Amino acid sequence: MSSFSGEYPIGFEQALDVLENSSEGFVIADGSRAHTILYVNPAWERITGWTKDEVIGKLSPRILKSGKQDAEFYDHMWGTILQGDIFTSEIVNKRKDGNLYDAEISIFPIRGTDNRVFYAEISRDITIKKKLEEDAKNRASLLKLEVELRTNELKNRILEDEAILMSLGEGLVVTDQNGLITLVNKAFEDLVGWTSEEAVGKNIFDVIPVEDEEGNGISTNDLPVFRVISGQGAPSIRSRYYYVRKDKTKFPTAVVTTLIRGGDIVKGVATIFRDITNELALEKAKDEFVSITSHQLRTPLSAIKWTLELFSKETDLSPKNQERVRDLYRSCEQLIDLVNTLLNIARIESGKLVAVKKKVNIVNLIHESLTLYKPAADKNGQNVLFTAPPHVEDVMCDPILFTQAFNNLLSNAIKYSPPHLTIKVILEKQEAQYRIMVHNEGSTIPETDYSKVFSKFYRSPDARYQETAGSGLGLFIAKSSVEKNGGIIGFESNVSKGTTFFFTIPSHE
Amino acid sequence: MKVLIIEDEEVLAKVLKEEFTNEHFEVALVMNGDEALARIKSFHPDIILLDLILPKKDGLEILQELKADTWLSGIPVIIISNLGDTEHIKNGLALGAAAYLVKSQHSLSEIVAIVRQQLMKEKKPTNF
Repeated sequence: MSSFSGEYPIGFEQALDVLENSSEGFVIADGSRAHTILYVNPAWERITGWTKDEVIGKLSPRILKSGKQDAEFYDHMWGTILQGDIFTSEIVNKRKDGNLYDAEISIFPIRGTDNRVFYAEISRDITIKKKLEEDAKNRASLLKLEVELRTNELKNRILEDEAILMSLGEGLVVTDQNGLITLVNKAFEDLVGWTSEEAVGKNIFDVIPVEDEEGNGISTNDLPVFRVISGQGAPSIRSRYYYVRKDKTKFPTAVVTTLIRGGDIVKGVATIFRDITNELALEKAKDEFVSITSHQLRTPLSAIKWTLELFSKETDLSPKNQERVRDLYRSCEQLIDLVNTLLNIARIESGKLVAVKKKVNIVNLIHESLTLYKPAADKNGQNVLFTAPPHVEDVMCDPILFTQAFNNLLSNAIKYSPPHLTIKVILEKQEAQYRIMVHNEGSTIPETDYSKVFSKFYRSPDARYQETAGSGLGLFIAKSSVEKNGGIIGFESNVSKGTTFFFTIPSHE
Repeated sequence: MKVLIIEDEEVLAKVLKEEFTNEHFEVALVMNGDEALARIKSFHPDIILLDLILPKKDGLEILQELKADTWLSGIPVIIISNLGDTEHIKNGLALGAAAYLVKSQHSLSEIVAIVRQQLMKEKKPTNF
């Protein structure tokens, strides 16, 4: 049975030493039915609790039987041994004090010098090992439980988020960095006509073709999804387009396209859109209402204006009546102005203010306005000085809008600066634009009002003090007019120097 | 000089007629769109003042028909309307109106002056 070939390096005495000092228990029993123990080593004593004096020649290893193994176990054991093989197994044994312990045993027969059979058993107390195994198993189960719990939590949260996304009234489509659709919600399906299965995985440019109002397709490079991903646009872009449904019909949309980032990496794009058909219809209805109403108001106003004109031409009116007619005429003009202003504002608000640009000599325009307002300035004893560079090129702009803005600044200066002071109008050439400044001394705008100056209905305390009437809409309209012409408007105000309003107009267009 | 005024508002029509008559024009009035073309053909005006919002026929429609007629297209048309939005102005001028005036922005005298100006332009001799 020995697999060791060649000469033993140690003698019997030394081999016995090895057994005596081994940490594994060793017992030899004889081959008789009694299996009397012939030898045990100290480790065996330690493990089992029996001393060698108690067992040698007196007892068999059966004393360790715990009763935990069934008959099959022993059958298998003896079957193996009797065949001459080593039987190795875990077993539950009983110590002398009755406590059970886990052991791993190997039993094998030995032939003695005279062919007698002995049984040797090596045993190891694996209680600790078993405990460690048990602990590990427990920890593993606990861990598994925790992982399950966490996973369920996450799953629930994802379901919640999905439910929220699905329930959004607005259409949502999420694409990856290549423009392929990864997620759509129910509103998307309803609005566009493609189901989630049909849309996911496809390129967004194919699934929702985008057009402008005239029905022209928008090139991919201009689409917000592309611009946001390529970093050309801001990380979030708002736009209005027409989306083409699965059934080829179209609808107007307001779209917000936003980059999705995971840290520094671009993960994809989220596009939220809604059908604005109703909104557009409402806007249109509002515009039509304003248009019709202002027309309706202007009709009787024109009638009054013209009738008064004829009235004033009558030669037999008393001076008192002449004055009355003039007063009536002026009031009527004020009403007409107000209607014009309101109509203008409505147009500005609905985005309908359109600049009709042409080549314009702005010096001439300024001169025309100065002529128009000279009577008013003269009445106040105000002197209006105009300086301009010697050569001013024609500028592409809408002259009506230009004049509207300039007239407002000029009339404000005349109205609100104290009498007998000079008003300066300066035209300055700058690098890519012209700057028109209107300066008046004597009136200021308080710093706290700086942000409100161009808003609707704002009037500075000085202005209100000097003239209580005044709609406060002039600067609001002036701002829109200037911006429609491509410029900016602003002011500087200083108690000692007065106030300068300015606006710019681009010179290359 | 003969001026045809196409205006449906009674007071405005009356006042316009009075002013132009005072200024020594021969004036005819039409107050709805249907009668316009017929009256133009019978009155032979030198110039037409055309309102846009009219009963029975739209002012721009009348303008289109006028300009489509080889004989009538030569008569200058000045649109007088209280609709002042860019769209209408562009359309009116594109269809061949000589000018577009917003009624509430002009006094009667101004309108007469503009009409006279336009007639002066028409009077320029053409070489045959």
